[in-house]
Amino acid sequence: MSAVSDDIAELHLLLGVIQNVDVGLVILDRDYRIKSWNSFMENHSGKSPAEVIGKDLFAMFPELPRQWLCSKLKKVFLLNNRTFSTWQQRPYIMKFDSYRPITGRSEVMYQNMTIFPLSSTNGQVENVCLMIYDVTDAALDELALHEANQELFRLGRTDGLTGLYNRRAWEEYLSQEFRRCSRSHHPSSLIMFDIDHFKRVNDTYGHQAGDEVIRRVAQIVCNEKRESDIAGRYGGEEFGIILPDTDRDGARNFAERMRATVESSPVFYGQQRIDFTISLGASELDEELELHTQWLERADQALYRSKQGGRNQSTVFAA
Amino acid sequence: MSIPVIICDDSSFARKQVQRALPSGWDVTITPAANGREAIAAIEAGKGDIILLDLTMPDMDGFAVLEYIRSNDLPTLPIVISGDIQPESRARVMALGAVAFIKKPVDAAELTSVLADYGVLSVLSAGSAVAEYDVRFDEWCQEIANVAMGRAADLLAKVIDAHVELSIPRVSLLERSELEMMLAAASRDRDCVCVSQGFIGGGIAGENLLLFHDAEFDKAAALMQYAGSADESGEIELYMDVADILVGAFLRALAEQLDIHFSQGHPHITLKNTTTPLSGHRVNGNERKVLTIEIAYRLGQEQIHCNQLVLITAGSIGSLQQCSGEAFAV
Repeated sequence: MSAVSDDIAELHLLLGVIQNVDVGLVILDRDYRIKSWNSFMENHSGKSPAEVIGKDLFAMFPELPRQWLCSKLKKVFLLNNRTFSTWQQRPYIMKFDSYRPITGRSEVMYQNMTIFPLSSTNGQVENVCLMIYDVTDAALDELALHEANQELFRLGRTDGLTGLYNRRAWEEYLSQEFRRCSRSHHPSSLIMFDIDHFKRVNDTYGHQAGDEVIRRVAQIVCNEKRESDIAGRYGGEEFGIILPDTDRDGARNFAERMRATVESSPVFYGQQRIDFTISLGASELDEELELHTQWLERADQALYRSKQGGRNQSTVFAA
Repeated sequence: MSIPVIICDDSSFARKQVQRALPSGWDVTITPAANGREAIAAIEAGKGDIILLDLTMPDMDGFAVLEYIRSNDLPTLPIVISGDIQPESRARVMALGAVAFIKKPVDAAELTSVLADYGVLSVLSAGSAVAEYDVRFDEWCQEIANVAMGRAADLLAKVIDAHVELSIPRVSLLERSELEMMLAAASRDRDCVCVSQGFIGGGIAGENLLLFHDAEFDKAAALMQYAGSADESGEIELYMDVADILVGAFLRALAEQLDIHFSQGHPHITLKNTTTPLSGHRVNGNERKVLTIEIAYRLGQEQIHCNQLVLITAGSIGSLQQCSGEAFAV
């Protein structure tokens, strides 16, 4: 007798837990009829147990993704195994308003769901339980973090002064282009250039004027290059441009065009007119090269020759 | 010979509730009073052998009325009916000469037994029709908030062993933009700590914000007899403790009066010293209006300020009116 009343007392406690727990609990039978509906479900759906118990879940909530959910439910019955759904797959199962409807960051409640089998006294799985969690805050935090990371990634690859790729990101592209062309045998060229006597610009007009010159050069690069060309700021006043699908003649033309444009684009800083020029070196990728750094070295050598030759000129690497 | 009775409460809904709770067939002539001043005038005009008196009222509160009655030796039997059920309020009321203290919402059986104790129920005649008051929705909201606030304050007063000073709940239907401005103003206060918690049930969805202004950890810690660390986690702990008590008791009392049950979401705390303390609280949603109930609490001797904002979605108003069982005047 007392064992029975203990059992009843425990059952009463457990029912209290099911009612008050702040997750949705729904028990379904094999025909997807609702057998249990706790207060979380009642309060968030606005439908009382009296309205839904004994009813077909999909008839009561036609907006549910029936096909998807049925296949999950069938699997749980068949395999006697739990199944999960996260907000990344589906933001929500039941469309509930956010728990904080006024000041929350989302209008809907993001949900995770677990479906687990419930064995009857005869050991058969006749019912399953759907457990629905509110994960709105975690989901929004993760989404915000993802966005922030993407922005950080972008910032980490961009040169702050010019908006071009920074050295690290640009070298990654160079290495990628090197591998791509080594396999495909497409032509590809590389241009390295720097601003002539840049130290003199800085010393004469100040660093802010120097920055302005660098920005102007970057702007000219952006205007002159094709969409597919990849430009980066390699060092202080040194730049690199990858020209995919471009042979040595194409590279020479591009380099000459750049040189001429820069020569005729003085920067006006305050009352001052600053004339400046660049020296360029180009190198077409060829099959002898084993590393992208060797490709870079050849362009550098060509650049060196332009400097030796008196600056404001372009040179194409020749072995 | 009918007995002159004054029902004094600033809320017309509360006056209606009291009138409904009077024993049926009791031969009385009722004079309503919306504040202490009106009540005194009515007593002095001989219209109140008995006064059923609220405490929290604008323009002369219940305490002041009791003091006036005693110092002027007015011939009336004061019975206090109040939502402020803290022991200190009760003791003060009894010391001021009230003959009984009944908590809101007033229970008819309790009121009848008090009246019987004082022998004023002599003969009950056949039920006489009483005039119905028109109740406005905002007054009804104010009164149920008033009762819930009283319960919350009572529970907190027990925990902190200090009195909680209450004011009248302010009910308004705010535009989202107005609410945004209000929250933005609160977030400009660098010392503002906010605990927000969603609730939903019976077709009513809303959010409770508890704002601690001029949050001074030392004062609050002393009040809560908090012995933990004085770092940020200790501070969160402290405000969460207060929020658990106030919000839990308030929402429970609110739900009880509506005969529903709320699910309560997990609280979300926004601490001071973050650049925009309410940054998470971008007002969203398409509904334009928000039913807003503002309540101010002053805790203990230190008078720690704590404001409660109960925000209810416009979509909930229909359910709320249904739960009330009242037919509201437009």
